[in-house]
Amino acid sequence: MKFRKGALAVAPVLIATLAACSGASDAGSGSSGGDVKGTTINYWYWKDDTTDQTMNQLAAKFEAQTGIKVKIDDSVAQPKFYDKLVNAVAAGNAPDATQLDTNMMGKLINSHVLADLTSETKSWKGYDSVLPTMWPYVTDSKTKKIYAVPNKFLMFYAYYRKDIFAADGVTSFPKTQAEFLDTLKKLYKPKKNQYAFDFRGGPNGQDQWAAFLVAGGAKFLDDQGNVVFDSPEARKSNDIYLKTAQYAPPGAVNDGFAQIIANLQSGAASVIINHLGAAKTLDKALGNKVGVALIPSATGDPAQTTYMGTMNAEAVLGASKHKEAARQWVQFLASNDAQVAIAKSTNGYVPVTKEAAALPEFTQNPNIAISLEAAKHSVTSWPLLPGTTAATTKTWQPLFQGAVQGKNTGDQVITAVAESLKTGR
Amino acid sequence: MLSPALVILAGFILYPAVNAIYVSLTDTNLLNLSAQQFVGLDNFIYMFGRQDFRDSLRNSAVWTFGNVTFQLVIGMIGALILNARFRGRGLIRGVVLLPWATPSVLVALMWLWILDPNLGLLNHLLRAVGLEQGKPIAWLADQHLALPTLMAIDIWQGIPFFAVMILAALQGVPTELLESAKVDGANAWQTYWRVVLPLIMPTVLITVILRLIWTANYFDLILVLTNGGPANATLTLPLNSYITSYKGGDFGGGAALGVVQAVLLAVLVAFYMRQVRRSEIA
Amino acid sequence: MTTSTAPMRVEAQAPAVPRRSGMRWRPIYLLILAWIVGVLGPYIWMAITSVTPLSELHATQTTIIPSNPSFRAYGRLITQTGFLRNIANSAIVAVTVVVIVVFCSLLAGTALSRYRFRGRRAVLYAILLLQLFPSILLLVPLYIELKNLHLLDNLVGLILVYSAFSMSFSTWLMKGFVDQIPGEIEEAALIDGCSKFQSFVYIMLPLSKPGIAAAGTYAFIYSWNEFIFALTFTSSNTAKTVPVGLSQFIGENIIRWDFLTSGGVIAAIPILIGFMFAQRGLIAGLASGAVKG
Repeated sequence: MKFRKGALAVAPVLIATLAACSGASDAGSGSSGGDVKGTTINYWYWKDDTTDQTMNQLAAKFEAQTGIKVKIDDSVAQPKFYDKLVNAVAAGNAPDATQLDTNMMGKLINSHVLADLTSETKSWKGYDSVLPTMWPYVTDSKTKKIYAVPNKFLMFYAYYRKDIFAADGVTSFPKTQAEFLDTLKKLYKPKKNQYAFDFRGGPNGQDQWAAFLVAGGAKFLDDQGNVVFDSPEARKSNDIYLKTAQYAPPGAVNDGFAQIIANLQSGAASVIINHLGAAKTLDKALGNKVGVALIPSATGDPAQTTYMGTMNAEAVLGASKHKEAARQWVQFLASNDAQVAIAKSTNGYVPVTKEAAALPEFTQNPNIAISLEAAKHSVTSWPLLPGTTAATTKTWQPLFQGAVQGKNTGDQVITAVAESLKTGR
Repeated sequence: MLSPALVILAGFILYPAVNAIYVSLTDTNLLNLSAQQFVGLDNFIYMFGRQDFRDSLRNSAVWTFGNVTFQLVIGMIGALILNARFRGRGLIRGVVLLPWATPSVLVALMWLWILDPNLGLLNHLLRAVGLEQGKPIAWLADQHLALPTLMAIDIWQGIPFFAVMILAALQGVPTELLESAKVDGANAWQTYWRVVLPLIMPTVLITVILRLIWTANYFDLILVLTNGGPANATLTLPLNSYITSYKGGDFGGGAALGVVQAVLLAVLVAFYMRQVRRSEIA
Repeated sequence: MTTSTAPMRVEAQAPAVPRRSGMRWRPIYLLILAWIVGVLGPYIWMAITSVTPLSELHATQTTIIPSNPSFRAYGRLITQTGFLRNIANSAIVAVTVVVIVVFCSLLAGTALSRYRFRGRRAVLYAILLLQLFPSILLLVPLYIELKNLHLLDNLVGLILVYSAFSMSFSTWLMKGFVDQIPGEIEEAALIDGCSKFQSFVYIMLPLSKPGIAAAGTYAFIYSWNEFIFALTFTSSNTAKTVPVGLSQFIGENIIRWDFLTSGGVIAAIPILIGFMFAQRGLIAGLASGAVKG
């Protein structure tokens, strides 16, 4: 029995420890501003290909320039990255700087985990060399404060099998969402094991879904920053998206990234939506059989359409003791040379600086060209709201899958996602 | 003699466990612990009202009892096989352990591609022997097939565990008891049922009860293969707890789900203990 | 389970493997064959994929057998990733955990089986109850604890956590095996002039060999496979284990099948060899004949 009493005595101590360990606070920015030479900062990011050394090379270059040593942790791949970051913040062991994507940022901003970089960014000499369309991705829409520096930019667009389209007599990629549905009907040949659009109903399929709805006229926020996702345009586009399911490959409701790529390669799928991340794999496997196109929109006119992108941005943590050194590192990563290196790395990204984005080796790459074309007009991303993480990684999947399988209505998906964005639950 | 084990257990399990109970009574946001507030039973009330809680409760029951039952029965047959004398027994005993000793990440990916509806080996084979016509079967994406498919994979992985534990227990069965049973005219089945089974029962019981607990808590496989889908058809309580905590950011609610599961399992353990006392094992 | 009715097994100088009536070789070989096929099927697929050149992996037509098998994936795995280090880390962690867990649980199991003391049942139940929580809930408190002990990104931290989490089952298992050993054997040894320590080493240890093998195998595999703690508590390759290493081959936009499958094959080899040796412990302790002392 002694054992149990001892256990209870431990509890208050534990709670006290937990409380004391709350790493989150943006009070007292610890940067001394002065000498940062010889500092070591911890930096986290997730990497795509385990053999890619681009970031390590950039860190070495940065150390040679500034004397700041960057200790990189790239051990956690994307789906668990956010979990590990949350645990580290709770345990007071967070890095000084980290990569984040647009789905994660709102919650972190709202929980005061990230350092406010507004003034340091606006006074930074590289500020104007970054494409102006990139800044909304890292700016809180309500307070207009900047919490990160743009780094790896990706725009959603469609990949399709030109050979399959041609064989079925489809000469051009559909422009409007209504035409899109008609085209899919023509591509649907289940007897040949050929299906139309693999919509990705599994993990992270919310990005493809949202990109389609945004092109169909849905908006996340109004100009005041209020959630307006629950709109007739969103519902209409969502209905079309759900109708594509009848022409989708078997299992599409559970498909993740790997499956949509494999299905497009094998011809089980004729169309998928993804960003640049799939380009190299598909080019290698399919060569000129694969084409790229803008996502079909409500009107069919790109000039009147908003397209969706996603940003891997670099933030500094509020609890960092080396904020100044960390800020220099994240700004270095958005410099022109670093951007060229990152854009050329294993998978490639769309450069965020004007100069790099204008280089012929990028503008002549059809995948980057289509990304830039989509980004030329009006662009958006998942908003930086505290509820975005819940909406994207928790709420969407079960309800969307339920709608595909007829367990709930399509409107319930829209309502629930809007509600999650508003309330965070 | 007890203290080394108890010190390790208290330090690395009891202490965090007490903390988890406390968190279930708060509105914890791990990213901002200073704002943590005590909310009493609110998390529990909120969770009980949700459909996904009821779904995950039902799935957890099917998953836990189904997996352990099949693993136990097949594992016991496996133990009897491995206990028999045959050529290459050492090699076979090593080989059959492989599924158990393979990290879940790898098991999940292996099966993901074997079961893929369009490109997977299983559907290729079924097609080749003419068992599958029409549209390919989407093993993990069909709302009625997904949970049984996941269970089959977990059973596949868990059989060696039971086989080894029961095999070890079989070694304690004195040979002359078997011989005397034979002399008395008992057939193999009677010998097994009346002599062997009662003797290995203590090991079987503790193996089953802990396996029930682990299976109930295990969700890595489900997370990778279906992430609880389609439409919560494979959402179990611990997976729900994980998603609520880390994806929904509601750590109090997630902990509440974990505590509910722990209480349900505790009832199971208590029931087991009564059986144990009755048979004087403890 | 009543020990008193069990006959003195000192008399049982039986062959190592009890021959079971009704188990003739023919049906057994069929069952074994079915089992082996069921177990090895997926691994054969994995091994084949590991020797499939990348160019064929990307091919649109799924062929089962590669036309140009190549072991390049293994070369790349060894030169371009730190996976061998991950295997070494896993081996160090798993073996150390086995030693700690077998030692502690043998002591604890013996105490819980042989001695009647106040709170004995409470301890037994408490050990079980500690397993009830999903590990995901214990993650952050454990993280904080390890940080305060300076055991993050450190094999020692993983060893301690894994020892704790495999202790409950091992203790119960050992208790069960010690229960099965008739107390008379120890008493006889004590009468013959053995010290308590000697009787433990010469009588209890050999007799509980199957239990030790079972508990050891369990602790080893638990430590070898554990993912979420290893992922959360390590950050550099000096402490990452096999499951974490494998998970790194799955990127957001790239899945390195060549590394995953060759890594899976390489990681399975030490396990297979280890088991073939360890399974010898699963032969009745009695057969060793050590009981005579």
